[in-house]
Amino acid sequence: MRIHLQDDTLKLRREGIFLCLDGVFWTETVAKGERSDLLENLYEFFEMQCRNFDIPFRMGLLSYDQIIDDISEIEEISEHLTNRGKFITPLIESIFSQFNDQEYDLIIINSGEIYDYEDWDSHLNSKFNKIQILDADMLVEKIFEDIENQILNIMDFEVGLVGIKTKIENGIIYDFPNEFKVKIEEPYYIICGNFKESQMDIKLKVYGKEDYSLLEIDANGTYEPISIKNSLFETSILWRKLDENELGVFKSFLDQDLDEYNCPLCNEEHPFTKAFICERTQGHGVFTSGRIIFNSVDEKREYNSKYILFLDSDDVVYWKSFEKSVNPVNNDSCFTYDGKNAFYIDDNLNVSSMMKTHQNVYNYSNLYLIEIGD
Amino acid sequence: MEFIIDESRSVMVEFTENKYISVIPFTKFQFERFIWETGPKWVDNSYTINRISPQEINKSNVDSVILNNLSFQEAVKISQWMGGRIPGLQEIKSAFNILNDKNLLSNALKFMQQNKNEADARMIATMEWMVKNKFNRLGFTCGDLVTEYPAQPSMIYLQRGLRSTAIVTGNPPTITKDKRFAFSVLMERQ
Repeated sequence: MRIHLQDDTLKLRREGIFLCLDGVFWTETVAKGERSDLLENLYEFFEMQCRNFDIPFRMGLLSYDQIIDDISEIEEISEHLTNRGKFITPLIESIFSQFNDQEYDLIIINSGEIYDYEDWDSHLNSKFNKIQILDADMLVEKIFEDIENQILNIMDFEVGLVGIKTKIENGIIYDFPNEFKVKIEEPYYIICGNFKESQMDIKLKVYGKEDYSLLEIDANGTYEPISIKNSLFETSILWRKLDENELGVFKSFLDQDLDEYNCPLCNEEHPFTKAFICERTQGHGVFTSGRIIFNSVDEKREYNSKYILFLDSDDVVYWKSFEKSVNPVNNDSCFTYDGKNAFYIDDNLNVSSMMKTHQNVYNYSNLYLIEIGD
Repeated sequence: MEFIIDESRSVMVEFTENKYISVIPFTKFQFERFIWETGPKWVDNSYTINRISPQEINKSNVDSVILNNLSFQEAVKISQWMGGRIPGLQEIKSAFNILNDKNLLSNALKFMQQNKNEADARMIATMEWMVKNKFNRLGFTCGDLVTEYPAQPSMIYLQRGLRSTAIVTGNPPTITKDKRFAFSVLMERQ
């Protein structure tokens, strides 16, 4: 996995492919036999896959110390490789030494034994993300579609599991793609996800007390620490006031026991699975799914919002809605929800658990977070 | 002690002015480098019998690192590839003290480690094992291949240590495939 930061964007790219061929085998066996097109088909297949997934593709030959730029070179070079054995040391000393660790996967297609492979076994395992050795004698017996499927099964183009963490005392990531989930495992604040893409550009924003925060990236087993410039919480979502006629309903919610609650919408006494959301029974002939009972909130909330935050300020109740599970309360504090628990993080990056008062309702001081889900 | 890294990416030591000799006898690692660089037609798989990786070396098999299953002519070709030659009898006698110096190997290893980008990593690993296990010389059961310089074509000398000398004659020298000699390469520098 290749990881680097460009502006505020974390770029993840799968490894490139280095294809190492047995030149003597190809010229003596394939070119002179019935499968003269096999090498060309293989080259086109790898070249196309790598182009589609925007990953680099390089090629070389056993016992030869230079990169092959085009398959047209292979036949001529291979003729000179007769009597030169099958060695990988020339590639290791001249070509692989120029690669960064884990920059490429290595695929070797050869016949017979590579004499010196075991000398470099551990070195190759640390230099390459993955190594596959395919038997050339078996490949020539297969139809090309089977070869393609075999190669696709062993090649892994997905970014896979990504985890990005900070020490909470240093900073928290407050803006990130929705596909990530938040976890708090003190002292760490973590966002994580599993991705099928072969490349990702992840825009991040981090709030911290210093100028920079250190992110610890784990992308499918590749670790990289990256410093990112901190920023104050930014949000374009403004606080709105709850309508006056709904203010009384809000206040009575806070005081009343769940079992004694009388639904302000239908005036019937019935159980609530979510506070602030009325779940009507079929007998009412209306919706059987949950519905926010504050019409002004329901009408004005952000599209796709999953959270409503209420701020009880005595005579006024403010609210705002969010899609993300991390959101600023103001420009130096925020709340976050990890799927089970909610947390309030203050301007000193102190983490406080929000108390669960009702189903899907969390409270800290005068803040009330409601998870309304999808 | 003065050292250089040779064409085979191993280390040589200066034993007299402007003359350098292999610190350890020619190994299979170096021979493989000769094969992939020159593609000799006379090579066959018998040369790689008992080939071991550096991580497999132990006290009972360490001598199998040495290349000794070849003929005099083949050794000459290899030494020419390195830009050198097989040492003469008097030269190997002159080099005897330094080649048996107890500090030679550790000093040569330090030099290789300092120049690791030019040296063969397998040679470094082999010498590290030797130093760690106090093996000052390899090829205890082998003689050192030498020749008089200029060579007398009917004579091949098989030198074992300083004392005993055996002479194998033949005109021209036949391909013996004698397993019981190793060889070092000598280089002269201006």
